[in-house]
Amino acid sequence: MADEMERLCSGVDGVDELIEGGYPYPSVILVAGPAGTGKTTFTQQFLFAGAEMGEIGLYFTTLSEPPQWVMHYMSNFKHLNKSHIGKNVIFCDIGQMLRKASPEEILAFIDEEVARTMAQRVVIDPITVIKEFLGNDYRPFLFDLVNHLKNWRAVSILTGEVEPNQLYPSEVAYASDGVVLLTYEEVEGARRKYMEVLKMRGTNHRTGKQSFVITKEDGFVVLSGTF
Amino acid sequence: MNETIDIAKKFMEFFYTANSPQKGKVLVVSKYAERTRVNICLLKFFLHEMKQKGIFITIDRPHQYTASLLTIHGISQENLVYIDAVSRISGETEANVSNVRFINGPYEMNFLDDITAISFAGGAVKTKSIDLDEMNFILIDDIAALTKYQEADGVKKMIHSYIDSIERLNNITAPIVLDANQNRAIYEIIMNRCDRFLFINLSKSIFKEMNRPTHLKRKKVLMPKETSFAKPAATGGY
Ligand SMILES: Nc1ncnc2c1ncn2[C@@H]1O[C@H](COP(=O)(O)OP(=O)(O)OP(=O)(O)O)[C@@H](O)[C@H]1O
Ligand SMILES: [Mg+2]
Repeated sequence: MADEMERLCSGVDGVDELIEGGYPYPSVILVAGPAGTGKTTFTQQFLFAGAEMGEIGLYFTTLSEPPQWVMHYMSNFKHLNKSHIGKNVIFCDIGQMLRKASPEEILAFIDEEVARTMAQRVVIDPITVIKEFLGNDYRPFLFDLVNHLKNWRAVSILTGEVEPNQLYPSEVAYASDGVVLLTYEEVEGARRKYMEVLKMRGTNHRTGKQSFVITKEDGFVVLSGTF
Repeated sequence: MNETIDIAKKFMEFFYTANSPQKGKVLVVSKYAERTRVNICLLKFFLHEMKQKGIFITIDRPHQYTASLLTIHGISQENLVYIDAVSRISGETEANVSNVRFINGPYEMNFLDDITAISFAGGAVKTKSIDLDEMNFILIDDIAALTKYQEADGVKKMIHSYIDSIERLNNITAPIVLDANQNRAIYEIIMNRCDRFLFINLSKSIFKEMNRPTHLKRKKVLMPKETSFAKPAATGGY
């Protein structure tokens, strides 16, 4: 009797086609990749695409790039409509609280912001730095976080920084409903960027690496065809 | 919550005409992604603006989420009782609160068979000594989520039982919030048994009363087995 699962569009050209039209709603998706692959750009497009349809997006920065600088770099992209900032795309820095708060306090803060804004789209960029502050509490924290985010009825993207010898941050990958990998590869002397959907619960997703580009005009765009 | 349409005023016009409350089953059609906001708007209207008493049945997520939303938005829950059918399977700790009656799971029993019975069976409703006949409204979130735990026949039966229960309660307003595309079969059952129809799209500021929708385009390809639900409207059940 179950109908098609409700889905929210990704905001990135070429991605929805890979995942039956969008991310399951609600769900938590890990977007993982090494420095500079485009994680922040990917998540900003996700929030602004929702904003275009009247949805509310909430963007938490941790300890990597403060909101000011995310906005600074994103203002370079023509397709992101800045009039959504502060209205349908809300920036929230939790970097300072991470340095001193307990896992319960961090979770309570995130809960409160999501509840207050009633956001349908949430981003935590990056989630992985939180591990350094929580140690052994990190895994239970992730479990609760993922559970709460879904119960708030949002699609949430957590970004994961990846160390050179690592494929993805495994604790987050297990807890998440979906995993999207961004990688660099050297092809014929040039470095190219690829994205791959490794996991998407409830979805008959395409596998294999898809090449993508980031341009000033269109932002993050996945090119069709596998490579 | 600064909705661009004055939702309280719209609800007022819709639910109360000439100061006489209009009771009954109201199908509220809205996008699934706006479910939380629509529910909070309804709760705010009934609890806060109208100072009414009501029941909130949760099937899709633990009641604490709704409870914290109401707290954050400054809406008193003094006159609200919850029937929570999902906390025990949610991986979350069960809150020890007086205004909640927990059900083991939405699959477990025919808990919607008789709301009256369940509430008098000694849960929150009794301890807070609220007479069900005094209840002004009842909301269920989310009736379509039953399909996760039951086969089609069971779901169909539960929905009819729920609506039968509502009909046995005196003077209760029962908005049933649903996305028309979420589950066609459920949508049709509920549509056929509701008295009034409301369409809400908060992000586009649309709020309008509709006639009984008759022109449903059914997605036959997606759900070939459920053609039997497509019976003529207004037969009052199957
Ligand atoms: N205007 C632009 N035109 C073309 N490419 C751009 C533009 N802006 C950003 N990029 C590309 O995007 C990359 C940075 O994107 P982004 O900040 O989203 O990555 P990130 O994965 O979040 O990085 P970090 O790990 O440092 O947080 C740049 O390294 C560059 O390759
Ligand atoms: Mg970044």
